[in-house]
Amino acid sequence: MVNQDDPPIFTVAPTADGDEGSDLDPDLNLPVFQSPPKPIGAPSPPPLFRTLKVYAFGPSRGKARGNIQSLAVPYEKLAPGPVGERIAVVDYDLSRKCFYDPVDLDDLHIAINGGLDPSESDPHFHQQMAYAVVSESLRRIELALGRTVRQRSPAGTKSLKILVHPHFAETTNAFTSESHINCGYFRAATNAPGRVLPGQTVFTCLSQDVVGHMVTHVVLNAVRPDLGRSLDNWTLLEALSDLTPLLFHFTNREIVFDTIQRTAGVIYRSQLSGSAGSVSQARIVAELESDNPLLALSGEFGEAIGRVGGIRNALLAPDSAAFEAEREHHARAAIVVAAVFDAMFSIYEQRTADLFRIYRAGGGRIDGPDLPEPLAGRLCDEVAAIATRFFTMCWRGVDHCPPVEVPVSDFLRGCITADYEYEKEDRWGVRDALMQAFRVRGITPKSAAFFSEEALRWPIAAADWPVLNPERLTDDALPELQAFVDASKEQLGLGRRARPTIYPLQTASFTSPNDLPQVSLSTQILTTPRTGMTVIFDAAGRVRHAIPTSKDAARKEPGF
Amino acid sequence: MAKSSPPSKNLRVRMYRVGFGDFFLITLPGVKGPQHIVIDCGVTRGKTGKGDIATIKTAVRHMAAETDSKLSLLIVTHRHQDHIIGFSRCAPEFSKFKVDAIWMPYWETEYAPKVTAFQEDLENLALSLRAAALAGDRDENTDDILAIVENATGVSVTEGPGGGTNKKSLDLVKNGLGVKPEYYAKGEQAKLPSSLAKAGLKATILGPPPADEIDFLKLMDLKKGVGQYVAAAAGGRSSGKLMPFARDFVVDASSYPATAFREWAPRSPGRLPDISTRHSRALEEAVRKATPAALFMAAKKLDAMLNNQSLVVLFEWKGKKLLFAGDAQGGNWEYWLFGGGTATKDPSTLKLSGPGKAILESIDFYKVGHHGSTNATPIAAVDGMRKDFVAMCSVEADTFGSVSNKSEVPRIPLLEALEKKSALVRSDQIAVKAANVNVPATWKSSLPKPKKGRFVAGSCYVDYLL
Repeated sequence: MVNQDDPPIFTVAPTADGDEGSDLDPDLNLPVFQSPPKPIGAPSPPPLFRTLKVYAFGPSRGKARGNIQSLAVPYEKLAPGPVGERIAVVDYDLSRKCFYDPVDLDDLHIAINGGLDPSESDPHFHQQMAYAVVSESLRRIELALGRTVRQRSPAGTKSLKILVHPHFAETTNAFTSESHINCGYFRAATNAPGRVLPGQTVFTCLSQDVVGHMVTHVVLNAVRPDLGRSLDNWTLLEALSDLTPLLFHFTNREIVFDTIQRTAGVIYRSQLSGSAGSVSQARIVAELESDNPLLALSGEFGEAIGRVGGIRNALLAPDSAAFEAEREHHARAAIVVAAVFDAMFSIYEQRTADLFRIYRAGGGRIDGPDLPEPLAGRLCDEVAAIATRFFTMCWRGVDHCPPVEVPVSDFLRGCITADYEYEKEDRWGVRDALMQAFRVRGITPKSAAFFSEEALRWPIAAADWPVLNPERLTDDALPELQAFVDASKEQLGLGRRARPTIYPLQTASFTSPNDLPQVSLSTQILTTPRTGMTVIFDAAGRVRHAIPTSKDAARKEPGF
Repeated sequence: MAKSSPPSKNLRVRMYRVGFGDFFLITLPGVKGPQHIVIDCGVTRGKTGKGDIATIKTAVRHMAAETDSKLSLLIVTHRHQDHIIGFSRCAPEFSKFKVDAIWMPYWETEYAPKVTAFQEDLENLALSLRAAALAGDRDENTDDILAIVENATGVSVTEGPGGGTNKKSLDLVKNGLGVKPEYYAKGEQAKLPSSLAKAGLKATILGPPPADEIDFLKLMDLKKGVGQYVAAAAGGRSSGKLMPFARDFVVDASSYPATAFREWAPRSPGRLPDISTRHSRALEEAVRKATPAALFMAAKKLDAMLNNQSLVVLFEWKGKKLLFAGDAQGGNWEYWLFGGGTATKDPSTLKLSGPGKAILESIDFYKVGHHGSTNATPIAAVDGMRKDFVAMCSVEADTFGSVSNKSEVPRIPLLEALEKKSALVRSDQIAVKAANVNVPATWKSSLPKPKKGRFVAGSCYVDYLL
């Protein structure tokens, strides 16, 4: 009950028409409103994020530290499925010829709870996790690329709609077909290793690694539809698809924190000491050593994406002949992944050496028990920042790869160039670390004259290229690109009657570490079905790089 | 059956026209008259069903008459139907044969448990693949998968003409001819029967790669690659009945909003898609269609795995070299082309060197690998071959693959490349005219003239006299 004598309660600012019949308060010399204030504007804006629970590694790790993760995914209104603007989860099972009941994430009880709690037996949780991981993977990739991903084709672009079937069939397989993600479920073998019960049902959609891997397939197909199916391109696709979820792990603070503590900061050790400390012979579970979860794709799902045993072996023994000798694309991809991790851990070592030195100078022991929490926290920050830097470099590198055929060494050149455009100084030394990690694994570009950063960066385009008028670009800029190609026939090496294939322009916008806004535009122009150029423009429409398909790409296939 | 006069001084390679399959007879003058070698005897119907032209019994009877049912050597390159079905289909004829020696690839040995277990697993995988392919609706891929499985297992989905199975064929070759086979891999010294050694024949085994740990492990990985598609990888077959969730969760498409199926909503320019109805059938169709493609990939891998078990033999007689590559594909070729131990080099980027190069530069005859399919004869190998040799390709057009996806067998660009360097003859350009059997040529082309020797067409075969 409001006391008549109390001053009125202002819930909104007074409006011009709020003064009807008002008198001035003699004490305050302000108008006294007789009628309650009217609400103004729209109701409160929707939230920015929606929190959803997922398994970080998979159900077999249970509630182990960091395994149950809350992902904050961009908020959107969701219909049952969940079905949103760009992602739709439709739980159709081909083996059982049925649909499973869709989850309604907008349901009040679920929303207030931060999403459903993890459960293997509840398809609603599976649908929630599939949606959350796809949404989060897409967000991070788009952040790295500096744009909203659209499905490109020479005819134009369209909005990328991802359709997810979390239980498409009873099979050990998970695969994509165009922008559809199909995850299978299967009965574990009777001799299944690790924490899986023999004969239990394993759901591939409950692995962030599997789903993140599939999202990468879909996105790469959307942004680079020009890439054909060859050993090199498969290698790149698989490597990037493994790197994407693996690098995510390093931003999961809880799990990184635990790993740092159990490895005394040496996070690239493949084995973690037991939570009860290191002993020569374990007597209880807490003393058992365990695999470093940051380094391995989840065991029980590895098979679903053709991977058995993760990347650890490749990381342990760099071999300069292994890559060239390997023909199986998964095995080649594992070597590329190991190279990126090698570089990443080298930077981690360099950037944290001073912290360890300070710690030791203060009497701290790194071979002893847990590292102090503030130090572990600082190390976590470093790991996350370094992982994000490499993640961004790899994805932006994709924009800087030649069309049709991308040997891994060209991908390295793309990454080096993209990172240079991002931060010319390279204060962390990431480019040199990456180059050396690739070199010791025998991945060196044949097209560069020297193995130096300057030589590996794609050369700056000659000044005689015409300019793409950026003033009035249409959506896909196809008419403008056509005019550009017509004016660049000489530079592109086109005959007078050539009809090249032109892919729509894509934009990358980001802020460099120097706080400078950067925009680059890129396209692929195929002069023949197997060759062409990726052309990168700066914000003023000047050609920055013209990256041709490597010469021997057209004859890459061993057979007829 | 009429017996053609055996060559008195020349070596003769005879390719029988049996359809899509290999059946070769080599005859050379020996101390005690002509000596005969048979390499493979099989046929398969293929995806289109046109591969088996039902002439194999005629051809086997012809060969029996020609050789008086005596063979110095029988070579079985690998266990695919199109290389072995003839043995069981014509078991009455073959069981009368006297054979001095039998050679098979190391992968047929019965003395290495890991090899026999592996072959058994492959057979199971093939059967699982067939079950998985038949579970969905039939489409273009299904037929390809079934054809590959049939070739691998010798079990027809619908009983075909002629009879016989791969299992029976292997049993007959291994146990029914009175002599135990020798099992070979590259690097082993092949034991020629004395009749052939005295006739001046030499033989070198070029493939398959020896089954050391690395190669075996690579195959195990491949098997996993195949297995993941058919839920058989980890030891168990797909139950086909696994119910992942409680029945309460099973609903129909009406539980989903119509926007869930927006991808299939009708669209017209300038308008928003019409999402007033649920296009759930279209979604179900899309899921089903995506699945056989994955199975097809698995079937192709399985096929390549068996082809790579092929025994590759190089014969040398009076300075003339004859290369019989079975159905060797990628890995098998690379092993000997680029030198042992580097079986996985990329043949498109490497230059030939050493023994591999010397062999290709000196061949007089080449049995075109894997019926002229893509990848079966690497570009680098054709580049490395000398000019003016003779090539024979046993094939039946329009049996597997299609021109549109560059998978036709034989692959036209490969045969064109070979024709530039060699006198090439295909088995399907020979008409079969024998008692009760009359099959016209399906590939209309006259026999080319080789630089050395000559071709002679017979009632159901073509000879190359060298």
